[in-house]
Amino acid sequence: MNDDRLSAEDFARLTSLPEDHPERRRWAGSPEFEARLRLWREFETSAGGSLSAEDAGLAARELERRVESEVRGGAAGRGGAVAAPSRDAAAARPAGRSWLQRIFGAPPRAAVAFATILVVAVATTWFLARERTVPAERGTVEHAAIELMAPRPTANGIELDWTRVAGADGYRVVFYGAELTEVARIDRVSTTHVELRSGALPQGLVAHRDVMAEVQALHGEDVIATSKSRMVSPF
Amino acid sequence: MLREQDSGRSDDELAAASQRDPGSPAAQQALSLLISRWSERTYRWAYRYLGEREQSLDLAQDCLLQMIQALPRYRASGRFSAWLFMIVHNRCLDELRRRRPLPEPEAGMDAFETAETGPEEIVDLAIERERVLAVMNARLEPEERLALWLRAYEETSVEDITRLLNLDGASGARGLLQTARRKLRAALSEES
Repeated sequence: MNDDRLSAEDFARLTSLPEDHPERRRWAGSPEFEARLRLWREFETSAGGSLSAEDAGLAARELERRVESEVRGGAAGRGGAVAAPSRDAAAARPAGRSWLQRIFGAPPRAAVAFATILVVAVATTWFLARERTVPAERGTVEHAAIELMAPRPTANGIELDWTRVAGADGYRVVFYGAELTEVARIDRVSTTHVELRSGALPQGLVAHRDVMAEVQALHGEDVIATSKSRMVSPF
Repeated sequence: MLREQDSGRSDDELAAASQRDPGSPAAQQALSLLISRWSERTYRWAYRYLGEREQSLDLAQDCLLQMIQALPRYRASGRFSAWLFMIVHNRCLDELRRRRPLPEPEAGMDAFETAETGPEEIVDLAIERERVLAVMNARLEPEERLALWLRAYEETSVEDITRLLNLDGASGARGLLQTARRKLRAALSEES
């Protein structure tokens, strides 16, 4: 039953309590808790499974490379943290000088800096020019951006505001719980703000329990822009 | 190598370091260490569900990215590994459900259903959920309890339970579930 699932925080806290702690004892009779406890122990120790250590190790290195690449690319930028470049990737680079260096010798630092500035300036000019030439009707769908502002306290609760998106005919506010699964949503909002009122929270939201909120701009049934998520503490 | 530097600092210390001044070299390093430390176990867990390398890598990647997104909200009031496990486990179950949606909305209770069980009894069982859970806990073996829980409440398929619990017998989880249902039915009829 999804409604009364243990949250990640609850489970993490319960497992840190001694087994004779009253709260832990209360959960000891729960098949849900016991099932998770057993699976977690196997997860921790990597027990079971048919994978060889070598296969698992190789896959894990591949996984690390992928995740770090994704994080550096900004896919997980919402978390605000960025992983360091992979040591494996660095180690995998061929040793010695590049073929350009071998032919022309190492370029002076000033030349490298100048070339870098030139490339950035050309790329920026090209990008801005390209933005202007995209037709508005199509461009709004491809380049729409939406920003969810920091929650603002009101007399009755808090208000979420976001920027208007050209071409959007409605907005959807989605709330995510601790495991980043959706816990609530407010659909078909025609304005660029909603108020979460104390005592009248959407189903799935609990007063004083933090959730992440994001706003989606809609054009018909299509999502044309999604904001970065923000922490929200409903009153 | 990261692994050689990955000593002496607890998961909570690394999580805290990654939360302080995100984007700083120290935070980046801490996050990399966490990823390095948990990537193999996350992959193994995803493989346990999917049993195929590339799909498991994709799923494990999703899990770790979810972990990174949720990390700013992690509070070191519990065990990091348990917190991560819940994220990974829930994401894996969601993936299994996405791949094999169950047609009936009440399918969660069908683990208790047998050929002799009528619809009224199923409804009764649903109403008496708390009693059923108590009997499950008191009368069933841990493995039976776990299989039945996964089937009835996590909506995991029999095939997925077989793989998840490493049940090697010819009938896999089916035999285990049948035994569990039989014992549960007997215990429930004793009590009523």
